[in-house]
Amino acid sequence: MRKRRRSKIRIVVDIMRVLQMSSGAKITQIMCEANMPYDRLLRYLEELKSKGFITEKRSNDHTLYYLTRKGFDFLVEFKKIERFAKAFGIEL
Amino acid sequence: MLKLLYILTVVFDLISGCIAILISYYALKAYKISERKVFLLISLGFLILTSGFVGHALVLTSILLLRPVRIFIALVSTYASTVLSVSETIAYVLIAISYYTELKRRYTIAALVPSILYMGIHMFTNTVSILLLLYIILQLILIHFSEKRGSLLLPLGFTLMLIAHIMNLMAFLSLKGEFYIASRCAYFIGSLVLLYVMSTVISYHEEA
Repeated sequence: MRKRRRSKIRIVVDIMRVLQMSSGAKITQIMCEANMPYDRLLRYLEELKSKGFITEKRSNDHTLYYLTRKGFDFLVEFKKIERFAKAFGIEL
Repeated sequence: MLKLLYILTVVFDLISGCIAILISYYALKAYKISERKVFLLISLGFLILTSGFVGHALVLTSILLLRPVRIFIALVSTYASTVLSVSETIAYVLIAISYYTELKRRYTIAALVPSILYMGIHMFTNTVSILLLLYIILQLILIHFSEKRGSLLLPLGFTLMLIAHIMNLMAFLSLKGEFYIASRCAYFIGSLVLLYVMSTVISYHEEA
């Protein structure tokens, strides 16, 4: 059976959940765990940064991404919405 | 007794309204997050449902508090109930559309659409037929007993047709072939009864 494509909101949440699990993640780790190609991931990370859900910290050789308070709150809210959608039989 | 009924209705309306507004709020939140129209439709549907419930409750509360004349109570409560029914129908239509779009998105089975449409039409027409036949039978019985006019065979024929429609609906809902066959038989016997009535009418004219 063909695997269904993830919706945009699912991709965003997957990325944010990777950051939630780890205290600061490199882009390669996010790529692996969220199953995203580099170029698309960069676009999503930019969008999440502009919305204030994540923040980045650069050190000498790499960049680490962190989930902000707003990002944590969004994930809590999303969990509720996910349950609501499931109860109504609707896919997010 | 009527006061207690009104109070109970107001309480139930308000509770239902609270539940509906809560669902509407969550659906709106889900729409804002996911940008999926299905949630917007659900939210709108439940919002309309809420307005219907709250409006109905407000009208009944004002009747309870103001205690107007009886005819005014009957008029206002009937209008309020009608508005509630209309709002319920609009809400259910919106919710049904939302599920239709969801189903279409998930399965994209073109064949499913006409069959759902058929099911809806079939159930609707059957229900309307049942209600109309009930009305016809009641009228015929009323005429027969109050004015001593008309044969009892006619309401019998229509009753058999009514039974046929009920069985048809049961067959449709339970997916049992036996009900369908019984429904066809009842309809056929009902038609025969009507044919017999007609034959007496025709023969009466011929004799005359």
